[in-house]
Amino acid sequence: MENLSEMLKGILEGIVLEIISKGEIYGYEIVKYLTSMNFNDTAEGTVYALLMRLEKNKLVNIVRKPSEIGPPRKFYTLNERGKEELAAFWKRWDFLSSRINYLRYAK
Amino acid sequence: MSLSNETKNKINKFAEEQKQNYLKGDEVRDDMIIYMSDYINDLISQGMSEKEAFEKAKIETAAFSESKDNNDLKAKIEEYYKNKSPAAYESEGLIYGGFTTVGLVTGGLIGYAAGGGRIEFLNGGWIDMLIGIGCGIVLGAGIAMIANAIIISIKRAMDKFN
Repeated sequence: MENLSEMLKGILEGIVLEIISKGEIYGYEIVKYLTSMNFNDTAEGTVYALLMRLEKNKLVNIVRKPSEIGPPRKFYTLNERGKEELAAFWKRWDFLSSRINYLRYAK
Repeated sequence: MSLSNETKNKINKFAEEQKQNYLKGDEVRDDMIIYMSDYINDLISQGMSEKEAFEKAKIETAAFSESKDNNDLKAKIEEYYKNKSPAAYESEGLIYGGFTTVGLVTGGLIGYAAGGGRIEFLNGGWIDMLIGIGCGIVLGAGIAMIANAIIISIKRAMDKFN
C-alpha cells in the first residue's frame, strides 16, 4: 500500500520490536521482513536509524558475528526492557485501534 | 553475491565520510558497510546494475542523518531559540550597545586628541576624529562579540555542571 510512511512513523518502532521478538535477526533482514509485509514505503535508512535508537535506549541485546563482507554483522534480540516496551506498545495500540473502530462504526 | 572492489571502496569511502557525524564513528561505519552491502546485493538481485544499486543505496542511507542524535541536537537548537527570554535578548543588546558606545567615545577622543585638539579640528583635523570614531565602533563591536562568547561559554559550562 502506498502513502503509508506518515502513518507508520509513530508505530514503526513497535513493529520492529515485534519483528525482533520473533527471534534473532539482523538489520537488513528486518527491512526484508517489512517489505514482505508490503510496507514498501519504509526507507532502508529509516530502519537503520531506528535500530540505532533501540540500541541507544538499551531495548535490544546485540551479538556480533563474522560476516563475509568484512566488519562483523550485528544480530538483534529483545532484552527485558525491550519486551516491556513492546508490551506497552501493544497496549497503546489496542486502545488506539478500539477507539478508532468505535469512531468508525458508532451510529 | 560478491561486489566489485570499486563498489566496495565506494561503500567504505561513503561510510567513512558519514561516521564523522556520530559519536560512535567506527561502529557506525562498520554497520553502514554491512547494511549498504546487503542492500546493494538485494538491488542487484532485482536486476539493477552495481553502479545504479550503489547510487540508490547512498541516497537511501542519507536517512541516517535523520538519526535520533542529530534530531536531538536540532531540537535543542530550536528549543533554545524558541525559549530564549526577552531578558536574554535585552542583555545581548546591552552588551553590544555598551561596548559600541565605549568604542565610539574612546575612538572619538583619541582621534580628537591625536588630530591636534580644538584648533586643528577646525583646520581639517575632524577627519582624524571621524577615523577614530569609525575604528572605535568596530573595536567596540569586536569586544562585545568576545564578551558575548565568554558569557555563552560560561553558561554552557554551568549547564553541563548542573
